Amino acid sequence: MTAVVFILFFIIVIIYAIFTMVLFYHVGRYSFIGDISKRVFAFYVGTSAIIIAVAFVLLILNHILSLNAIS
Amino acid sequence: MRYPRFAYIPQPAFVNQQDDERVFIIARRHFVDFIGYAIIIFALLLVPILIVAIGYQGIGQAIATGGAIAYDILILVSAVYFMLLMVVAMTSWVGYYYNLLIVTDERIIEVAQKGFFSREMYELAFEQIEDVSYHTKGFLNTFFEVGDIEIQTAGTARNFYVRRIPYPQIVFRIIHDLARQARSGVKDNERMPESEIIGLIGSQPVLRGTKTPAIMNFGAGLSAHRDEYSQNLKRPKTLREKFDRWWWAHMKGEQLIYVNYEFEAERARKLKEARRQGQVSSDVSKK
Repeated sequence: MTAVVFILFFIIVIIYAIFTMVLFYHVGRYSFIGDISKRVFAFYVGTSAIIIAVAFVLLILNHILSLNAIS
Repeated sequence: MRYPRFAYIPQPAFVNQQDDERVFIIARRHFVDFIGYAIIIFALLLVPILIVAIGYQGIGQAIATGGAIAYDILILVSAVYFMLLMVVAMTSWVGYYYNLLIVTDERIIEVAQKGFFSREMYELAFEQIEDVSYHTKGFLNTFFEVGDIEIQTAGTARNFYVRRIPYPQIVFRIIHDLARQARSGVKDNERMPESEIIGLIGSQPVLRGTKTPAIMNFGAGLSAHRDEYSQNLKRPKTLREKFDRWWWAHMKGEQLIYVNYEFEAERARKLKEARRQGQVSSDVSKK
């Protein structure tokens, strides 16, 4: 079951990464000199990375704790 | 003497800008247009906190009965929720931020972005303008000086209706002056707004007689600057220099190049000398 959860998590992250690439294309192509597009994109990437990292760490912790509980 | 590490390289303000095309207005929609989305996104951000606060005991019991799998599902659902929220936020932001009104000495360009996959660009020559008007309605719009600009065209050309533009009275006045000059046969490189405010970049009015932002292209033309700089370009070599350039270009949103210090010093000296002899006037009166 844990493997299924991790696979599901990675599929979600890959879909999210595709969306991020679409956003990156827009920011790269349509942003102006001096506008806030790139800063907003940096904030978006930073926040997304935190969300993904926290979720991943929690999944790992849960996995480790459940293994300990079984043994 | 210490010289700057970088110099600005003039870039076209938009994709098909002519070499000597001066830009008077680059206006995005005002933030008032995004307030509704921002409130919804903020409210959605609070939803999980409310759910946890209200149903704390019930959720705790469900997790205790479900065990490790229940924790996994909770983590996945939370992560997906926040990711979807980011997707919604960014999609609405792109739809808001990439709408533009550009006014140059030759034409008016409207860029209409709807979501990620719909971008329309309309262009209108000043000669085709029949009538310009602006409307400000509502408390927020009046308070923040936001309004809609309507440009009616002659013949079969599409009418322009640009929503939620900052300082509509300035935009109206500039377009009105330029259209009138175009109708009376003034050449595009001689057109100039007649009021004290000659431009609007972002939401910053540009006053007559002050130094104009580089993006307005009031200098010697884009290619002249580029040629001058490209001959004296110094590429970043060290890791620190490469990082600096990446940081300034992407995080600070400024297009910069490394400069040859000696060349810059010589250029500054010549410019100073020319100013002293009265050969170079202010940027605004150059054209």
